[in-house]
Amino acid sequence: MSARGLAGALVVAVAASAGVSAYLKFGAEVASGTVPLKWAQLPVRYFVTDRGVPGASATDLDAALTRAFRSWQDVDRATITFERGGFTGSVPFEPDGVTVIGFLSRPDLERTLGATAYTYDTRSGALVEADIFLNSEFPWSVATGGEAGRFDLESVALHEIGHLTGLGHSALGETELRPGGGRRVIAAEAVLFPIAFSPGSTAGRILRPDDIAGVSDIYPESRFRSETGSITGRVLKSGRGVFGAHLVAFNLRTGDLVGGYTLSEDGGFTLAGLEPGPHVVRVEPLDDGDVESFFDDAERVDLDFTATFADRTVVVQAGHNAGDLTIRVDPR
Amino acid sequence: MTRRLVGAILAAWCAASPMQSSAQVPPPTTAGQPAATAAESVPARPPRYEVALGPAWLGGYDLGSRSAQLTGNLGQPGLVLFETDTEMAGAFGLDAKLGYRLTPTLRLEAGLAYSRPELRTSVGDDAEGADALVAVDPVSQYVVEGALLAFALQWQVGGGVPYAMAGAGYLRQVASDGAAVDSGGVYHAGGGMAWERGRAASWLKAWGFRADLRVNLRTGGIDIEEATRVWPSLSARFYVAF
Repeated sequence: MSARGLAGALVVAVAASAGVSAYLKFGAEVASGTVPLKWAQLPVRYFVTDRGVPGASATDLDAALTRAFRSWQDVDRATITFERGGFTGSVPFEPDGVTVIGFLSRPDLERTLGATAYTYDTRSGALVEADIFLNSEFPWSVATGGEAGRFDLESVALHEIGHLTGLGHSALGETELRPGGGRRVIAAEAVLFPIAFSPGSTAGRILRPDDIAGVSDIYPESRFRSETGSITGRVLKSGRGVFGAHLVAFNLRTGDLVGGYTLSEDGGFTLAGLEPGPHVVRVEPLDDGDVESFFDDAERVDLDFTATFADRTVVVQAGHNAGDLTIRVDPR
Repeated sequence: MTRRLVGAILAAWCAASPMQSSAQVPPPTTAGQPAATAAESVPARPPRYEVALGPAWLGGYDLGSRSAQLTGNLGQPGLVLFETDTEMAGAFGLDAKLGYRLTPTLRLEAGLAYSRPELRTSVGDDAEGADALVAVDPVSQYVVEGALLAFALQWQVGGGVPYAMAGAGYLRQVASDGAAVDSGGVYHAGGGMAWERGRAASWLKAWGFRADLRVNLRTGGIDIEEATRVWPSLSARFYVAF
């Protein structure tokens, strides 16, 4: 038995939060409750469509995907691996049990560069297929240094492959509203930030600490738990838990920024995969993107509070949880 | 190299002390007493062991500044989300020593020091206007150390005897929730004054008061970078010798 969903577009996405764990992961309802979607069988075998677009041939697409998959596979403390099956004449988003990645023309999704659709086993939550489409309505580039006016194919592929692994969106970025609608990125520190860098930028080709911590949390090497630490706590407003608040832990030693969310009604959160060292923790409302691109139940998300720092410097030690951090926020 | 140099300085100081002092006269006698009186108070065996306890003040030290930076969009510099500046604040603590008098001018000491300095991070300049604050975490700090002390008996001032000291130890710092522990090495050098009085009980051969000022150097421990940190400390101790 399987279910199918669409997730992880760069602008439009549907995401489900997964329990009380760290990071935003896609969740699946199974008999035992909500479980994070993840691949049970590795390597993940994928096929590439044999069609190109102006600026990116099928071979270019294949090469960009190979680089992007390798970036995720090379994460030290994650076990996920991928295997290229070759070219295929199939198209993405057909529920055939085969993971297919390629271009599709979707003029109706005028703000969507790409998206990931997945099929999972409803008994276990295990992923069985995850297709990625890249919208051929946009101008694409595979130029090494980027190309003015064209979106970088490898950067967008890297983002979508993050969803393919089971990761939801990160909110580690700042945006501004565009006069014609939508948002423009000012800066971001996660490949899984829902809004892409501007055409011509190749900054999205490099996984950031937040992405690395996230994929390691889903597919942990044994040493992931022993070499990194975590922070747990609660965000409270007027004595009540805040749901959907975005937190970021800033490692004063490494400069890493790793994000997370309050994922329970009592405002509980876990920031995991943190490198050892003193951390500053900051909480803010989800105000740099459509809330729907982070949570499928947007009405539960509290946006009415001001950005606030924790009043404690939290020292994280490898293999341990620095727990019981309470952050009190005020309404706007 | 540094430790060798300190050792050489101590050796030179000891060599400068009068031989008769180190051979016969116990360390500092009661101020102003005639030599004969002092000689009468000399116990049959000079004190060998010493136990000291007292408060200490540890100076703070800066750990540095960092910016929480996001990668900028095309053609734009990175965005600083907020700025931080971190220090280990000064603190009072408790210092206990166990000493062994090798000679009247040289002592070996083992010690345990406890203090609770605060790890303080000033956070501000937030891109979204979050109120600036100082994030604090009290750290339990333990130092187990050994030191060599050299007393300059011939340079008494106001009844006190100056001394120089140098040593090294093991540092252990535990964050407030007890989950995070960092360790490192501590080295110190400094000097002070000791005022010693004679027998107070049959088993007690001497008692006195010591105060010293040290410069401490730390490697490891809770920090935001691989760096050596330096801070002053001042301690005062009551001690008994037997």
